[in-house]
Amino acid sequence: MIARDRHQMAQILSDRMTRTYTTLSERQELEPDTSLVKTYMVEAHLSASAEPSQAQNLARSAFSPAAFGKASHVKIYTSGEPTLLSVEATVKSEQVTIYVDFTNSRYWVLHSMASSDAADWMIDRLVSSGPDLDRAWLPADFLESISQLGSFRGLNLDYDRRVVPDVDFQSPHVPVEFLKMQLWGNKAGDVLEILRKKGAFPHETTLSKVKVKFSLDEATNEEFSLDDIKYDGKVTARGTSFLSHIGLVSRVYETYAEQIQNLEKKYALRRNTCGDRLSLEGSPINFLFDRPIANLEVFSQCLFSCGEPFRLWGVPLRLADDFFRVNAVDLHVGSPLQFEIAPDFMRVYLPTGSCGNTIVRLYTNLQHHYDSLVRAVDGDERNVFDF
Amino acid sequence: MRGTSLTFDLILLNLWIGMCRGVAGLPRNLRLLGYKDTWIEKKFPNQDLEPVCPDLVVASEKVKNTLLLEWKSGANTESDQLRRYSRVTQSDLETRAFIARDASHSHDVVIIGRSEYGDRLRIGIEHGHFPFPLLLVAMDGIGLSYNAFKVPQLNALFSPKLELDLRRVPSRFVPLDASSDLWEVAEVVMPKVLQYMTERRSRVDIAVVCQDICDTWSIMGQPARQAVTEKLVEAIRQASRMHFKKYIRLAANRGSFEIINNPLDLTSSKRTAVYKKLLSAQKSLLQAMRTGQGDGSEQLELFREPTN
Repeated sequence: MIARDRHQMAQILSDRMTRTYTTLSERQELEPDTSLVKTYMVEAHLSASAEPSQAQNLARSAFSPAAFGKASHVKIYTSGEPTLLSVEATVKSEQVTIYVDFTNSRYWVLHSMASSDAADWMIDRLVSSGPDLDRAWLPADFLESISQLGSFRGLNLDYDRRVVPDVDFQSPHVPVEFLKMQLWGNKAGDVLEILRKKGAFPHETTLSKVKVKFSLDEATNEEFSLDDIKYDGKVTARGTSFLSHIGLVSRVYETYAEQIQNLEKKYALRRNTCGDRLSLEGSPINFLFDRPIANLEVFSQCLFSCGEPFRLWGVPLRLADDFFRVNAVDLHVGSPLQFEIAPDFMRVYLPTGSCGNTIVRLYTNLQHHYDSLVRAVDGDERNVFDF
Repeated sequence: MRGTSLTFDLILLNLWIGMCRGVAGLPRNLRLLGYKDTWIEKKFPNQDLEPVCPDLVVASEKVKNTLLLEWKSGANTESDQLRRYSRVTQSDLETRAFIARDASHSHDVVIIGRSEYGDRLRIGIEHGHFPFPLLLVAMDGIGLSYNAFKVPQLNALFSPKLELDLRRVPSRFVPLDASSDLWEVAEVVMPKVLQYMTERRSRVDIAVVCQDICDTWSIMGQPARQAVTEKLVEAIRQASRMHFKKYIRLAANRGSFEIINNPLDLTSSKRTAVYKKLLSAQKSLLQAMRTGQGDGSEQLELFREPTN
């Protein structure tokens, strides 16, 4: 259904969410995936203050038939508001509608009631269509703080070292190569604590999803959303209150945007020239590895091979036995950035004009594919992120 | 692929900036003393209105001190240059070099040279009775060789030696200068070309690229700019004739290059394959430009003489 404005969009999504939850809880059934509201946080490579027309042009181009193929029959509908579009498409014979809300030109929110298969495919296609859009990446420590915004009702763990196979997984005493877990219930926090204990799996316990019961009105708690927030910026909503759902998404997105802006403001390297005076501002971000990198060469090759999930392009140059330098390009956004890598640290230089999203994506993916305990710190060894 | 050949000047410039900024893998002492890199090659007049131009100025309000750092890649000091440095006053630092009042309370001119030239450098300083601390650089650290700093913590820090591994110093604050090798220019410029592709540019002026890749461009003299430009053109020329032939073409007048094949024009699935080809091309280009440097087991050549 096409939305004429954001109010109607909210009404459509709210009706679906509450009707589904009420009906199914009366029948004591689980919700089918197709009935759930899904919200995706997608970051555009635009200034937050960019004109709505710029964001709309970008959305139109990103959802063009060229990006999705003619078979998808993508159609774009304008609304009465300059910052809302409805997009219809056909994905494997399923009719999909996506509401694209770019009230903030940089931090877009997309909603759909389609199946996860179809909606996820659309979003995958959208962010890989060009360098202008990417997901909002939510690191594990951020997900944990999100779980504290309401009642923590479940978690997923997802760690896969096979993406960076710098150890022989067949030999004894190698670290865990793969750890996935799904847990529903009120004891999620306790389980997390146990897994993180020394001697358990602290390096591999990486949160990929948290389930949070959230209510805008904490006093009554009658109107609530039960949200699954995933590390790739997807939020699946159940519950009785769309307002609570969107309230939670907004809180998460605001914090995310603050972190991105902080990265770009404090760390991006820029030259200041005034007459014959030159000074530098900004600083590299130091990634510290609690467990040293086992094989620098393999690690570097995996990170900079252009492939998923890192999508970095660069030729690693060995400067010493235990030191590499890489002049890289982030293929998601096309920005250059530089790396210097030793077994226990990685310096990342973010040039001015680069997107802070690059750093968050790297950090998140290192947590999922290398070491859950990797830290990103500044020159005073304080955490770069404040989630 | 092994080996770097940053010039002595660039190694020291990046090292001191890195130490001031708390870069991972470097001693943190300077950062903890509050030193901040303030100016690069800032020229200012002394009390006699004669110019001085330290390679780097670092200043700390915390210990109320400024260091005017002068690198010497060769064996000799210039007596007139040292004399001019000796005539710098606190007032000059404050009013002409724009150093904060607290930080300009005391200052040192620091001469930093190679350990193998220590004796010769010391003679130059001794001869003029200058109080300038002399720091000597070796592969495993930097040591105070002559005179003393006004800040006692610095004397303790560099005596006998501040240990660090020069092979692991940062190099990306200021990655290039007029003396950089061709392959170093290519290492920096080809990722920039990918960025231009992403921005869907079809033609890029060489002058624009020079400013984009060379951080010190704005304060470079004409000869240095000329040297960088020539190397950049040569790097693009070689790339466009060999490994990047399908993707870029240097204009006949060598004032610009064209992007003749842009991966962004392809679908996302095909694009990744092209990026991988570009990655192989860059690897081959860098290897070709470094031909003659062995099979990957050569030693680090840290203290290369400037070529300009």
